[in-house]
Amino acid sequence: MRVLTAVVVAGFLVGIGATGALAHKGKLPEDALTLVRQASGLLAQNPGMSGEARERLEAALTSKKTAGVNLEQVREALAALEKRDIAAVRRLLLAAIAPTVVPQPSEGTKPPASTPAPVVGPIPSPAPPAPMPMSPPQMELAMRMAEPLKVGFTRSTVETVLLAVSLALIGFGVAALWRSRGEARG
Amino acid sequence: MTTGRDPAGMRPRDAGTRGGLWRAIDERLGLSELTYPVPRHANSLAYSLGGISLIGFAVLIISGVVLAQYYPPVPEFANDSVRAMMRGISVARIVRGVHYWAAQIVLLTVLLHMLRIFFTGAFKMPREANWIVGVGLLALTIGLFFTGTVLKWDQEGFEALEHNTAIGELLGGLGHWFAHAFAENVPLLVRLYIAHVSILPGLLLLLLGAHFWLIKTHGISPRPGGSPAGVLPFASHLTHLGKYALVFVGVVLALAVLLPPTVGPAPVEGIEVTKPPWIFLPLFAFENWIGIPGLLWATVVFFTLLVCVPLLDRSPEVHARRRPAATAVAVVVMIGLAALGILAWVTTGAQHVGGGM
Repeated sequence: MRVLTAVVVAGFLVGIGATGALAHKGKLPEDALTLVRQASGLLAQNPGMSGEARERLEAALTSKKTAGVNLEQVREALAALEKRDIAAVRRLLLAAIAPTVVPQPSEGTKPPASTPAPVVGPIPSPAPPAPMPMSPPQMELAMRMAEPLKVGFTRSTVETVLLAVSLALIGFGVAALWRSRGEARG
Repeated sequence: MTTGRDPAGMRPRDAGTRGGLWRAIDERLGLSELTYPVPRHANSLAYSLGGISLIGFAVLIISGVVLAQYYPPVPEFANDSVRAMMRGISVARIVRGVHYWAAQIVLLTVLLHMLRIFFTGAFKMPREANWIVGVGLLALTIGLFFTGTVLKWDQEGFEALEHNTAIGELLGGLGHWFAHAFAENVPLLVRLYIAHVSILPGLLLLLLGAHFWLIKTHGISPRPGGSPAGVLPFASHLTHLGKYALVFVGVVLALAVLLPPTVGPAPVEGIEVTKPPWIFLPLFAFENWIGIPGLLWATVVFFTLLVCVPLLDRSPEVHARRRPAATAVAVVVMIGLAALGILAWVTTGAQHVGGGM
């Protein structure tokens, strides 16, 4: 009886997992800028999610809040998406929101070493950033930051030496364990 | 000068220079206390899993201290600093690989250790309290794994943080620490970093102390079906763990070189596009089913059941075959969790935080 109960519980667990395909449809944001950022993020992480990206780009084109977005480039990106040219889509989307792309520090930049002096008066409002297109290096940097960074074994000398050291450690450890295998048995 | 050792295996017998030196050290550090007897099966792989996990924690602490020198825990720089570590062949890249793989293996050995304890009935009287301490250690290990996932501040880490915040909101007052409102001027990433490098490791060390004290008090649990005759000095068990340490360090170093961990893209708010690390995949299925509350309640139910194991399986029998109901339930739960994990891996995720429900 207990075994039967256990099987039923397991069946229930598996069953509820199977309903995972019933995706909960979220409400899309209203402003075009967020929609375009999200579409770009979706394609960067998973180019297979072109349906979700398309949905957001179409919503961006009909949005009433279009500040900071070049809709013409969004339209071009949507056309490129139809042709499955994901790289072009991502380039166009980054260009479409270029003046308002969240500024990323250049790669390898260190944070300020010291904290700024304490503010004693009201902080002056910064001037709004002038809309300007991204330069090619900026675009390249933005594209790179929006891509997963995949690294692998390059067979460099350092890597080869480290690999040899690791294999020596494993071999030494396994040999030592093998020699003392009788200890646990008595 | 002879180099013989006493039966306990630690103290040189002769009264020569080495013997005198040993006595001088021992009188001050009490190292001969480490020669207390332990059963021979303590040196088997199954009974060394806890020790291997401890080795892993040591590797994680050392590699974590090194990584902290290269990592600013602020949203503006976090992702970029991890990328900087991974470019070229540098100390930081290798150490990050070691940290990443050590974390994966420790999680695995902790889970296997818990399964060994369960299937050999080692949680039974008088070791119930130590089982509960062990469940706490498992929770802390998972907490450390989770916060570590957030720190790389890529899309996966950011989505993990959004789930963290959503669960905090669901918990109301109890989840206030997880909310931005707790300290509005300090990014949540900074607070999770503090949890990862000080709060959780501190709690882990406290519980580890309690774990070891209880093991010393009750002794290493007997092996179901009988243990080999004779005992070993505890120092011999430590030496044996040292051999596992060589293998452990070798394996994580090899993995760090051959399969360095990737870094995802800089995060975008309001989308759920990644799947969580393998340990959280069964929960992901619950989340897909009923949203964020599913994530919370599945976790609560799972850990409550784990804590209650000594209450649910109270028979004095320790052999897994002689307590078929407990064994069957455990096997079914394991299969169920594995099935949920696989299912979550192959099905499309759903939006639950940010713009979703």
